[in-house]
Amino acid sequence: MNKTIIGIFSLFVVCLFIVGCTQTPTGPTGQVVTNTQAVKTQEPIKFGIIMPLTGDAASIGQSVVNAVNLAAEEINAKGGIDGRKVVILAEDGKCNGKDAVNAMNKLVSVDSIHYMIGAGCSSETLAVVPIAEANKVVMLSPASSNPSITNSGDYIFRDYPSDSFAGDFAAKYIYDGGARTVAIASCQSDYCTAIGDVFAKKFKQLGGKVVFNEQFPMTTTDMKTILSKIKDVNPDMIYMPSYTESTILAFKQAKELGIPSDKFFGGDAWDDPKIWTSTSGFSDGAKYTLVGADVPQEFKQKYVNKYGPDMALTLGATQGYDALYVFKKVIEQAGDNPEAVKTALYDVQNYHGYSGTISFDSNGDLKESQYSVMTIKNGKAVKE
Amino acid sequence: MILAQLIANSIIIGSIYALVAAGFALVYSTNKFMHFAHGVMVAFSGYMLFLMFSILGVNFYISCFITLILAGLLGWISYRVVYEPLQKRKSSNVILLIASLGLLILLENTLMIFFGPDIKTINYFGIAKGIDILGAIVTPIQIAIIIITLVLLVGLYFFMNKSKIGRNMRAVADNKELTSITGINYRSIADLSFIIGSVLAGIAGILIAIEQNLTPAMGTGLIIKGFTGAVIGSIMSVPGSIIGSYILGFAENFGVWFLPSEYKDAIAFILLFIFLLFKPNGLFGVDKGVRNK
Repeated sequence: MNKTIIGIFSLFVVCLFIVGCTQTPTGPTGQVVTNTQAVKTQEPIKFGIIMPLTGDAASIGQSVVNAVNLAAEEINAKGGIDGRKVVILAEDGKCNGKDAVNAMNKLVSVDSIHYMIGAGCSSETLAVVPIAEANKVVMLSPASSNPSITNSGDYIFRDYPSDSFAGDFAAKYIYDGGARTVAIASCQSDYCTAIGDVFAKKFKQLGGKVVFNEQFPMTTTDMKTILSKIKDVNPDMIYMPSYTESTILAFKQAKELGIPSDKFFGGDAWDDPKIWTSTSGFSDGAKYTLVGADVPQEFKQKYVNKYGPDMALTLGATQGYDALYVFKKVIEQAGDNPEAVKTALYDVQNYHGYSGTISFDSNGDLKESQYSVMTIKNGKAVKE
Repeated sequence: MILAQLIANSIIIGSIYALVAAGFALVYSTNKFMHFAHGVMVAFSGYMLFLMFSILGVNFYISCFITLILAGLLGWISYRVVYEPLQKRKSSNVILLIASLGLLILLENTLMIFFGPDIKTINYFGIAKGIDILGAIVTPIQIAIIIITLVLLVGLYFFMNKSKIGRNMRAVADNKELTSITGINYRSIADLSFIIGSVLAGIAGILIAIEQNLTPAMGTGLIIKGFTGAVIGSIMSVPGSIIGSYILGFAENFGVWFLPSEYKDAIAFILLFIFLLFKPNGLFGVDKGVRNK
């Protein structure tokens, strides 16, 4: 018994010794550097990511993580940020608050991150902002669009525009197109319900009528019931803010039930090639709003070179890529200090990235945003 | 016309639940523990079909056939590798339940590693507007789902009641110790229940792959619905769990006729709680043993 204890203890001491030796950095001339600041500067800078990596919005999360890794690789190849390597730690938030909080707690307490690119889904972001505030973690979300994020905290920024723009834009577009009655079917998530609410308000304001407004669970495997109810009220248009999985199912079952696909109008989450290709032939004429300008060819090329042509490139990818470069720029100015980085981020104006021009307002939101309308045809989405 | 459509929707989804529930109840009644990993057998089969048909380009019907063999094999392996060793150590049912949940998560994540988290679709039959039957629009695939389910379930009923193996299975379900005295080999009966149960799950997986989408985590949702259907009917009775599944299908679809659509899953869970609290043996259950009617 005693032998075992002594054995374990000596093993522990040996471990401590080994760790101690390997962690003592030596300076350029070979002397031991004892300055803690110097030790710190050689450590990599960690960036946390929380994205939906499984479930309904997985292809968006995967695409953003790919894009951020692409940027990290470029930055590391050119010497990192102030000579320090960039490390990306991606966690799965499963597009819901509960899992995002678990992921955030892990990133904060185990990995002790100070900077985060994320979260992805609005539900994730809204849930983790309080933890970020309490632990002084600067968040820059490349994909969350819920309007209530605007006032949710001081440490949250986003280079993706708020839905208050998108819902308004879609309502006006549909009303101007001649539709007077709409049905709204939104998925149960902060993104879908918020954009649906903004849309409903604006459409009524314009003089149109919302004849149906219901939600469906994101993990649904059967859209027939809600589609049957919509078919029964026969609206001019169907506004459906939803993610990939349920959208594919909805197009398929709408076709089977005889609801024309050109009645459907979606949000920016439909900007996923998976939707267009999987519904090729029965989603023709469906439209959706897309944030900002097209993805530049240069970025597409980089992405394809790294991940191959089959990997989905969705919304949030260019924003995620830009987010890391914005962090790099700000950290190089203000130093590796979360508070200083936060203050400096508010001063970022007219940064030109692949996602467009990034300027933050006093809430950490993008100052302006443009939208375009895309039409799905033969497995592709084309700009109007 | 929405009434006719809702009836059709209920029967279609009820059939899918019934296939899952029948396999689950079969395994439960013969082995007396909750095989929740049954859900992932459905997902596994869907992905095997996707692998063979969409990736490797094997003929569709041959793919289906191989898928069913693989599903039965996976069910058998999971019994021999996970459950049987635990049973030999006299583990309680709670431990077997936890093992089955562990197996469910392990296999789901394995699927995710190999196939990725995003959804997969198999469009073998193409998508077209359905046929109008008494005001309800139903596609040929959906009719096939209903017919295949009914044929299988009737076949299962006759197998359980008329064949010698079926009778042995019911005997084991009724009293394991007593049957072992009469010379029935429990091990081979347990093997068989897992193989037949998993092949049923495999058929459900193929039908779901054609009718809906494939995601690695789909098994969890399905086994919850299948389990609910089984509890409503009676977890001890295969025919009871089938009827329970159809009741669940109707309750879900007709519930959201009046309620907003987001309550669909809530209806299933409320039913599950009501039955677990007030009628844990289900509508067709008896206190002990199995009933066939």
